Amino acid sequence: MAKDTPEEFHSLKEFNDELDRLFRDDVALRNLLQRSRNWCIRNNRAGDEEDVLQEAVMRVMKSEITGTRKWPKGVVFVDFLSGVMRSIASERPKIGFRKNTDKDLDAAKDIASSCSQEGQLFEKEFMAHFMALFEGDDDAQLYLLALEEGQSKADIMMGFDWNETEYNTVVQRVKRTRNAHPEMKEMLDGEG
Amino acid sequence: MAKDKKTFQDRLAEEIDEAISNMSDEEIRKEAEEADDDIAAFGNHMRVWLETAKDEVAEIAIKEAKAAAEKGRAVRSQNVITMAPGKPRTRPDIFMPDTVAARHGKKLSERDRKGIEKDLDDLFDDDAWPDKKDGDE
Repeated sequence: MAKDTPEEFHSLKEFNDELDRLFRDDVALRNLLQRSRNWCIRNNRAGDEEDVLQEAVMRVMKSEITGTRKWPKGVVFVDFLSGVMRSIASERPKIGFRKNTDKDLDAAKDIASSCSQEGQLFEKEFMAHFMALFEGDDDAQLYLLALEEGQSKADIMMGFDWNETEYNTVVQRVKRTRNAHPEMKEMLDGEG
Repeated sequence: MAKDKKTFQDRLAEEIDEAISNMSDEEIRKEAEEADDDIAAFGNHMRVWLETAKDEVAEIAIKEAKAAAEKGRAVRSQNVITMAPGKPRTRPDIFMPDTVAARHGKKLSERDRKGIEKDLDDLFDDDAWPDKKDGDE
């Protein structure tokens, strides 16, 4: 794909206009904060959502000027920012690749390797504990099992004969429960 | 069904991200109220932050522009080549100008003298000039 051709990216002016529009809208900002919170919980960084949101805006503003990371056409602005937040929120576990921080690369690789193994184990433990939060909520548990299998939204809706509203209701319920338990990892580690 | 490399948590986070993005304004406000969050205060806080962030980015942009200009100047000065001052070319000894003026007052050669005499003879030779016509002055 040709990079940085004017047709594929919004101009700096379009970016600035959209950024100003977003920051005038309290509801949109709150929504973006929630999306940041989601990526932070995913990466065990609950509480960092405002920092991640600001970092994303800052990075995009800088890169819009340098032209390194532009807002692609056809992508909704807040979705673009959400993608940047997702990337930022996942950065911290990459031990060994932080400039001026992880000087001992061999040690860092060992840590990264053990983190990967721990991660796989953690996934199973997380799933078991997460499912336990939905005892008595059959729909939520079925949804989570289907998601764990890698089923798509369409597959899940068809498999359980749910319409769009029923599906969204279950997802919202799962979201609320998950938001209420960002300390899941600490609970598993026996720290909570 | 083919499994992708995403974990359960990845898929769950993606689903929730989409669910959040699809929330109506009313749902967002209601959720904020339930969480006892003041979205207006957060909005104001973020707007103040944005102004300082913009100033910071503008400063960075100016610094980078200056650095680029400095770099450009440095490159240009390397491209300027100092040329050695030109030296007059020495003429070979056998060179003999073929005009009197080019002798620069040097002594005339025998050939020069003969040439001058021939020119003068031609100049004063009346027969060499055409006859005057009637009415001509």
